[in-house]
Amino acid sequence: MTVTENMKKIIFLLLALLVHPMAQAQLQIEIISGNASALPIAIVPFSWEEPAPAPITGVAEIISNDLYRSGLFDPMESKDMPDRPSDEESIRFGTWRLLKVDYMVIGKVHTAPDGQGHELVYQLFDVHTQEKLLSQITTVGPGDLRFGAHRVADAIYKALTGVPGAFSTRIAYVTAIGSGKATKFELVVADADGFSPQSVVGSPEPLLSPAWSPDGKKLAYVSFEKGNSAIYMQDVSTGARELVSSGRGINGAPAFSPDGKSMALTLSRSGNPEIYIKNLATGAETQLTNHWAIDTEAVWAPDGKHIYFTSDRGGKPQIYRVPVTGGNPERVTLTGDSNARASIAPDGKRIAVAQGRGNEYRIAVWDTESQRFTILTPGTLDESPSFAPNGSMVLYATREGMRGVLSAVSADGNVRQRLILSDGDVREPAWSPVIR
Amino acid sequence: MNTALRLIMAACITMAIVACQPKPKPPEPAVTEQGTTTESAAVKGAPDPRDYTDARNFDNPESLLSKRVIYFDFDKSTVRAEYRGIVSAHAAYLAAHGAGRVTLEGHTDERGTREYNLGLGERRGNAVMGLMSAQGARGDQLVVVSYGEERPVCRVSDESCWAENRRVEIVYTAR
Amino acid sequence: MNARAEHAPMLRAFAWAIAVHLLVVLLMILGTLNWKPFRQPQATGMTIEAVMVDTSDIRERREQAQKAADAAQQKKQAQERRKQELAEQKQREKEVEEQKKIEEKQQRELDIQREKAQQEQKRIEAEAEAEAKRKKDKLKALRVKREQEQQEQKEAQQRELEKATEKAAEAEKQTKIEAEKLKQIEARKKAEAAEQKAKAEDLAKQKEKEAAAKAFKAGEAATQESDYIGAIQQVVTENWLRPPTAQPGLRCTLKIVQIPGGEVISAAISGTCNADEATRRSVVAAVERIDALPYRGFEKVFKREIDFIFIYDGD
Repeated sequence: MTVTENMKKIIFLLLALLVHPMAQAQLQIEIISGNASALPIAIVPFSWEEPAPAPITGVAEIISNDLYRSGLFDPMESKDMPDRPSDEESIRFGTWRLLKVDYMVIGKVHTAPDGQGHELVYQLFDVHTQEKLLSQITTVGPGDLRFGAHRVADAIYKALTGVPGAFSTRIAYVTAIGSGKATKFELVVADADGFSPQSVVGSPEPLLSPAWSPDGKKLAYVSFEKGNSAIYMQDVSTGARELVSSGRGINGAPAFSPDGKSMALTLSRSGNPEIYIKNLATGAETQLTNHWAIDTEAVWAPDGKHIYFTSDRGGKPQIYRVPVTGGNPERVTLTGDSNARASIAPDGKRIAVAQGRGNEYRIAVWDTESQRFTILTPGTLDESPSFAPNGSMVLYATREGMRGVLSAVSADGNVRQRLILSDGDVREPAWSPVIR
Repeated sequence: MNTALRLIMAACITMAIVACQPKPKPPEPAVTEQGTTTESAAVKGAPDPRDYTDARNFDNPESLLSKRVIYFDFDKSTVRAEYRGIVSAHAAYLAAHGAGRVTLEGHTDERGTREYNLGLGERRGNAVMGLMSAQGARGDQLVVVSYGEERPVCRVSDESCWAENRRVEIVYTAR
Repeated sequence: MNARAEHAPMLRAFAWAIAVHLLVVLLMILGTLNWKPFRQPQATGMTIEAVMVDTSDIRERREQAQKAADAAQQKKQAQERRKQELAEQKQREKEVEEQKKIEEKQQRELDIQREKAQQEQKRIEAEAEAEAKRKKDKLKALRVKREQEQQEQKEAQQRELEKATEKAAEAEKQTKIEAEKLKQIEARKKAEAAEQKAKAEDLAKQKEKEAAAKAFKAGEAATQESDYIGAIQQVVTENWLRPPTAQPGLRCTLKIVQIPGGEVISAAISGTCNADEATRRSVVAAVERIDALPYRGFEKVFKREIDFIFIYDGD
């Protein structure tokens, strides 16, 4: 053999040696689809360490219900739990691993250091790696134990999904008790899970269209107490209210701008309902739409630059969009017999509407990027959708028999839950912004 | 002309001069301007159902004036032909009684969203107002208030109840 | 007596009143009577004396006068008629002249147009001729060109042919030489071959045995490895609880390191992963939930590092 042939062999061997280890580690295995499921989590009942008797519904139960309602979690029932550890050292991770939960939460409730409120101490663990993902203390005032539990649920939700939770927010809605001329109307504010309702205003005349200010402190609404529709704005904690609009014709559909300085509203003083924008400081009004059709139900885009509204200028109600500075409205919802009462998700990309088809009304979500509808609810008389401030759920009004009730559905439509509420007919829900 | 004719003419002329004197008048019935019902010696018995200026017809089931609700088709605000008579009757009343004041309350059935239905109810009220104005009622006598779906007369989710809720109510605030 | 004295003035008033009324009525009746005027027309007593005159003379004179007048009138009328006729004549002549003029003008224009048309025609014909000539020339040129090209081609082909035949001749020579060489080599080879054959047969037998053994091993390893992959795939897929927020088009790579026995000592998302937080956690959990990856029976194909590629493309 020649010299060159020998050289070739040596080079070849060297190359082979270099390549060899890499080739061995590149085993790639595809895992396709898996099983659709929510994240399995165990919220271990918190240890109650206060002198007062423990409430009937414990903190852990409130947290579990919140996480379940979001549609993303599959909380384990407390009766299936092998034990109830409340501190890190007592956790036997091996046992919990066998139960196939991926995450667990343990905690305690003490009296707050000031002697009056509550202190919730809790940790979140990854069961498989035994990694402690969260260790926090949430302190709340007396009587705010439920609020504290909701804050804990928010923290867990954010840690595991990356999206801020919306469980410690509130919802506003209208109840109607009685019938005919004897009906009593009430505007109520409750926790996002429907508990702890408080009356904001009561009237023998209809109330509708509650709308939250962006700081969560005020509610605007429509009241017929003057014999015609009029718009009021009320501070939720103090009860002080002012009249915003009460001219001839319709005064309706109030909506605060994202910066809280303006309000969009519907006035029909020009002969037919049009959208106006009112500067809340100066009272100046600018007319935004000018068309013989019914233009109403204005809502602001999260960036405050566009207004979405319902208009039947095309024959049946559809959602249109117009710049806040004015211009020609363009149609947004391209399919569906009728679409009305838009609620914009906080990312501005999805719009929930009440979609009509024949005599049936459902909640559907329009995706502005794919330009398609996803139907979230089965109907048949669903209306007034309201997005949670983290975009993960939609609150809406529906019927059970003759009674109006409120339900919440996860944004993908997978989990639907009726909220426990007060007596009578419930309608017109509005989800408050995130209150820090 | 012959003499006989002349004499007759003269006699006639004389008589005609005597006859042209004003006679004492018989007593008149009292005319009521304010629409309040008064006992009148000359007008007795049931009111004429077709006299839409007579306020007693508000309670007379045979008169259109006693009908005070106009019904509409789904999603429509045009007044159907069968209800135009009622509208005309009330328009005639208002034209005759300048102090009369009417609120036209517009209503819808429960289908559709609430604020949109406020607009639809108002359209119905406006349609009735337009007809009444064209038939003699003055603008300041008519006010339209829309209640949308907020004041239903029944709460069953079927066609017959929906039909009853799609209405304009003619409510007199002054007669 | 007093009563009558009281009524007396009233009675007198009544009497006067009645009297006045009667007077009025009387006047009215009288007024309707046919009154004749006070003055009657009176006849005048005057008589008129008339003298008979002989009217024939007058009549004659009158007739003559009338005739003269008639004659004069007729003359006059004749004069007027002639005047009118003259005028009409003049008018007619005028019109005829005008007409003539118009016709002449039209004729002239027609002539001009005809001339123009003729010129145009001539021009077109001239152009056509020129065009035809040009075409002819072109065609001629083309023909000449083509003929030239053909000629050149022919010559080229000729040259090639000559070359080819030359080559062929040479090749033949070469083959002849080589054939002879070969023959010599063959003779030599045959001698060596006989020797080699014995050696080669032995070697061949050995090689066969070794190759068979190797193939068997390789086959086994390959099936073992695919079994191994399949087993791992199954257990990880079973344990992947995909959250509802996973979007179609999901691609997420998870690098794991395991030790013999199947225990995973490290699992981390690396490289591309377009999943949200909840889905990433589910991917890691899928592997962590498993106590041990398949090991027994797969020792030979054990792989210490594995890249899992999690895929979701909708239902």
